[in-house]
Amino acid sequence: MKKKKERDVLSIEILYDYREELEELVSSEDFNKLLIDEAITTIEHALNKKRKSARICYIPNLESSVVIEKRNFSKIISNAIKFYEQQEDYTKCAELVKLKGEVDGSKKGNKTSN
Amino acid sequence: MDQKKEIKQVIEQILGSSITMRTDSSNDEDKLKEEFIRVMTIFEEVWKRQNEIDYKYGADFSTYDDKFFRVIEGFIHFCFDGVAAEAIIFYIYARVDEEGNINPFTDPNGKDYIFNDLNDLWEFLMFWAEEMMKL
Repeated sequence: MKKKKERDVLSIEILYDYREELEELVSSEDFNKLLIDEAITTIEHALNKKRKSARICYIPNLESSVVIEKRNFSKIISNAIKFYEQQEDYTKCAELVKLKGEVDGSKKGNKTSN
Repeated sequence: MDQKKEIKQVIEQILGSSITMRTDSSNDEDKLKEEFIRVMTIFEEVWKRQNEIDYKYGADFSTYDDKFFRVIEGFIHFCFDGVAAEAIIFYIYARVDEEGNINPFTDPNGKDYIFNDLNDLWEFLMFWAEEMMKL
């Protein structure tokens, strides 16, 4: 796994032979943390740039990028909060709660303006 | 189920939300590789053309083209690390012998690399760049 120079798009090659190997990945704390942290970083970037979606990472062996839509930002942050609660990293939780507030606030703003 | 769908499910499970898998074959590294291969293919064609003219028609343009090739070599040395530049120049001038056999490129540590095509050369350049980063 390596990070690219421009726009910090994470590139992850996911190769496996059996479904079980993929399930191991789901239970891997390191992999969960990597994806969640990258999702949060890209959400923050998308908010700053006022974008409607965020590209989390690129999977070269599938020639595909993982993209999340703005409507799902809040849900992903909530999930990240749960993850960091389990990790007992309450400082991170507080940061995420603040970010969720910004996302939810921007949603309401959008609704008002529409 | 295909791998793309399986990986999508796994990522959705981790993030706790639906995602989109956007087909995106051209990232920055791919673009760079594509451009490198395009330029090298032209370089190789020019070198082969000069040799063919000499072989087929007995017209030796090597003195005439010498400066042109020296400019290209100069730019390669300007843009790449010494070993990487040597590998690129080796690829064009010395990779294939007169019988069509592929010669190995030997790095300063004495390790041989076979470049079957420009993709192999690119892989070597990426590997060598990483080695240089470790120093």
